[in-house]
Amino acid sequence: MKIKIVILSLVLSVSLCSCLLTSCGEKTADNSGKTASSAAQNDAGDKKLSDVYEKITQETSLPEMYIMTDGYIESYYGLTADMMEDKVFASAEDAMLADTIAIVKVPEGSDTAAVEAAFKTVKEQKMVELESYNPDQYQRVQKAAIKTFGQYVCYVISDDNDAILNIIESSIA
Amino acid sequence: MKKSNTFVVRGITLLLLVMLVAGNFITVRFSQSGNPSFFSINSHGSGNRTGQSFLNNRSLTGELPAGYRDELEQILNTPTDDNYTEEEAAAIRKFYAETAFVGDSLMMGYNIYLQKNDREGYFAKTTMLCAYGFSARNAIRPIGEKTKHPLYKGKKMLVEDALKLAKSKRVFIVFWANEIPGADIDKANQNLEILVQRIREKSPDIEVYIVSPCYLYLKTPKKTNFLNNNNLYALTLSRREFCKNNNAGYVEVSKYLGNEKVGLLEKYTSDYHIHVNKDAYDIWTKVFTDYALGRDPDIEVVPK
Repeated sequence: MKIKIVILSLVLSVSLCSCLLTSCGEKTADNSGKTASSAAQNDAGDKKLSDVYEKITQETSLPEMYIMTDGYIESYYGLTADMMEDKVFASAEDAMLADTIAIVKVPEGSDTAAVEAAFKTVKEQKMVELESYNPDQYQRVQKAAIKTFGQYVCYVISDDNDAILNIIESSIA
Repeated sequence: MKKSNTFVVRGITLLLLVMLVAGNFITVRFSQSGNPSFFSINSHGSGNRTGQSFLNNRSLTGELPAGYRDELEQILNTPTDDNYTEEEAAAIRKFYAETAFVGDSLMMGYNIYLQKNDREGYFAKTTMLCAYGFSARNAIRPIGEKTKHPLYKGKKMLVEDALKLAKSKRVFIVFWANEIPGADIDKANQNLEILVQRIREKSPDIEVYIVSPCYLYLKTPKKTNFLNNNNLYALTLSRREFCKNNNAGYVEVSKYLGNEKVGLLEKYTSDYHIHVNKDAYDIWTKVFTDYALGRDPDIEVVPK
């Protein structure tokens, strides 16, 4: 009887430890794009575009991505919080890869022109920087898509541009 | 009945003991192998050496010459790898909130690294002015459609204008490999001098720091007559002189990642050429944060 209880106690302990281990693992998830849905949600303050991004990561082939900070988005793209009702900005963690997925939902009644212009400026900047420096990535940036669907403006650099734009369009429709 | 009650009590006690021991084990495992913020703050103000676990992840033996290895261990171990206190962390945040980094692809990579890894927010408000292939040569050219200048607030800008707009109190300039091709070292330093002058004209009180050039991975297939470790070493020496002659600070990060003889160590390269990986950027961060606290052992010149 005593042995049985000891064995039972050990089994229960191992089970509890496994639960603890699992939850700790989730807590320590980093900022990589593949596991960044919560980070994207926090940044965006809205679930929808982070869900769209999550779907893109699941259905297309992306390199390791990271979610850009609000500070960087403002500093580099010149886009401030009041210009975006919702957003997702992800880019390749490897600085030598141009892969980027940026989706912005402008506030109701706002013009999308400023965001489109910001994306166009960044695309041109990348092309100038990469033309002689990294010709392979330059060609990928050349094919970058800047597309507007109603209130949503997208900037996509990937080998799966069309698939990604289809996911975005079907998700926000 | 009484006997079985005793067994139950003993069983529960044993269970609690096992849970306690296992719980401690898990806590220890995660504090060591998890990926905590770079050097997390000890809220009690005394160091608990998370830096040590960071060190344990890499081998420090066999590749670096002894002198370099000792210096690396010195900067990462004692006395500088104590956890930062709240006050120190606040001082680092303030220092880098008033700081701008100007640089090339290496700085682009560091920018990404910081967005992902700077969980204490030491660099959250640092101004980043960088572009692929950027150099002092590019920086002093007038802005044109096809010229390389950094984007700041969505606009292509001269470095000196962006620094003025950002009201930066200090600037860390990280130019190296792109300085050499097409220009000799003297010319590269003349270009840098022009840039520094322009920066000071627009922001008279700004402190200028030059960050040491890095080395190439020794077996890189992309070595050229210009871009090689001998020239990078010469550039390093000349940049130290430049700082002395131009009242600029010199921040040494490169010697911890290799030298002119062994090149950029394999464990720090991300592309077996000139770019570096997260481990290397961890070291940069440690050097920069210590520098903000005046702890860097290699401070040679501090701007007045």
